[in-house]
Amino acid sequence: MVKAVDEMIRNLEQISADPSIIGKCPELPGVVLDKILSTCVDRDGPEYAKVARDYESLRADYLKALVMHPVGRALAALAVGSAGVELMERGRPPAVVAEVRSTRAGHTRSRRESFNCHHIVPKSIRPHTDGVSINHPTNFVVAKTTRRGLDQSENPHHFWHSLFLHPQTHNAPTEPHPVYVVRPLFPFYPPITQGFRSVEELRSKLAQIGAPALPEVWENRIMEFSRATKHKPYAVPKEFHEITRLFGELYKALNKDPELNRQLRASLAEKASRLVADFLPAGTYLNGKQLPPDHTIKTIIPIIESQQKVETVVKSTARKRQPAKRESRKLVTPQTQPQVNQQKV
Amino acid sequence: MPVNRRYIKELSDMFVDDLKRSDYYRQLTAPQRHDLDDRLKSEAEQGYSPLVPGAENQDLARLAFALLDELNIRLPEAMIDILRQVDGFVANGVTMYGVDGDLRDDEFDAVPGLVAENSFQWASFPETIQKYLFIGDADLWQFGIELDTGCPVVLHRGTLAEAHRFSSLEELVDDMLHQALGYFEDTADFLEVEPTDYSAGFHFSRS
Repeated sequence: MVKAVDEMIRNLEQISADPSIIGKCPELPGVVLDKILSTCVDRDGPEYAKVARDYESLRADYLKALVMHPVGRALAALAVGSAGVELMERGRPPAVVAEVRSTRAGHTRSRRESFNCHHIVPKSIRPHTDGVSINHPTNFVVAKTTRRGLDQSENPHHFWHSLFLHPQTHNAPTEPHPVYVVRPLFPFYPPITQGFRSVEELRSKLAQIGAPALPEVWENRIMEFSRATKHKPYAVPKEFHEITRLFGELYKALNKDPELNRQLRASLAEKASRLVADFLPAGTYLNGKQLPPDHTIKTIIPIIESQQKVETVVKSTARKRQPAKRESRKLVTPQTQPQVNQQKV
Repeated sequence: MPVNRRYIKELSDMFVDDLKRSDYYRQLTAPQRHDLDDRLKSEAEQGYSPLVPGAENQDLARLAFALLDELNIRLPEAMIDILRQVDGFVANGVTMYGVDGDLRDDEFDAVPGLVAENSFQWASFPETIQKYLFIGDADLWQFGIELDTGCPVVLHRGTLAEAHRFSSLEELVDDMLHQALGYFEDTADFLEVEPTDYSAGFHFSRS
């Protein structure tokens, strides 16, 4: 699995040597759209069930391997902190305790900032493009999924899903057709929790939290991401929350009249399609209809086509049921050292 | 039928363990840590599950009113029973929604709220409006109650196609807890060690 993680990191590096790709689309910094020729998988078939089952048993191994890899560990430390790294060492997605309070009845509860491991090309899609393996680290991202009421600004994965993926897969044709999926250029998204105004500041932070140094290519990417978010924590732009607001405004005025509900659904679907059409090229299927040949992209986001064949194979490891381990662990630097930046500081 | 108490206890133990390793805990002053430790210990001694409490009646009443007022749906009795036992959680990539923070006296948004999450899901996927009350999610799955039939269902998150129907909501929540605790064994292993008081139903982690 560590070799597969290494391949994933190398693949990310090879998407573009130019770090400026990170800030090309200010609304979606650090991501590209990956054009995948695909069809929908038969959900009742054995292929789909196997993919789902394998993923569940691979995920813990993947999270452990990611923090065993020196670059993965340094990126993890920046994205999820030392406590998050410790959880990943135990095969669990990172989560950070943010606050504890007592309820009126005197019961304690905690608020946790959470991250999930997600598929980039979803398992419901059968890629016809070489080089895409659904249950391989090259197809995973650990993304923040924190939600606070209607505020989904810290839930980028949901944003990618509802804005890009759902309109393209809903009512999609049965024959192979291109689907544009969001591919983050980091194994974690967002990759940082704070801005860095200089590379020295970044190196100092890594040293402070006991993480390995990053190779120059990753330092440059982190710095570019920080510039793209104006050195502030990333949040999903407010304009993409408009669908939710529209829903709230419309829905409160409605009753159970089927015709009114039909109009509401149509209105919301049209709104979502208009939003995503600004990013996607002519010919893309949205809600089963192709964007016309004269359609123009209004918001530029880099588009790639993954074609590199996956070299490593990962196997699922079934685990017997046992209580969660509770032994104390210390965040330690792995023995393998990365190729660190040789610049003088 | 109650939710599997052993799962809730294990989740509570896991959360307490996470808390004690967290930067939040380390940054508390010694008296604050001592006070928190005492509260956690006292709750456990009284038979409660620290950090995984059930919802209080007043909050449940507000939730039921908000669902009716804002989404025009009734909070199913089965869900009220579940929330009394476990008022949501976020663990290991699995989220169960609870009472919304803005419906509580202290406005503490410990977990994603049922009203907010359903508003958001319905807005993003209009075909689900008034079809499902979503109660939680994971990377691969969306968990809900089919409103017309009251049937607990698991939907594929990517497509919202139905994956499985449960015979009871407790069985579905047991399955969510099962994955939250990180159990992804195959069928043979599961049968070897699983006590008989556990759900014999569908396990989405083994689908």
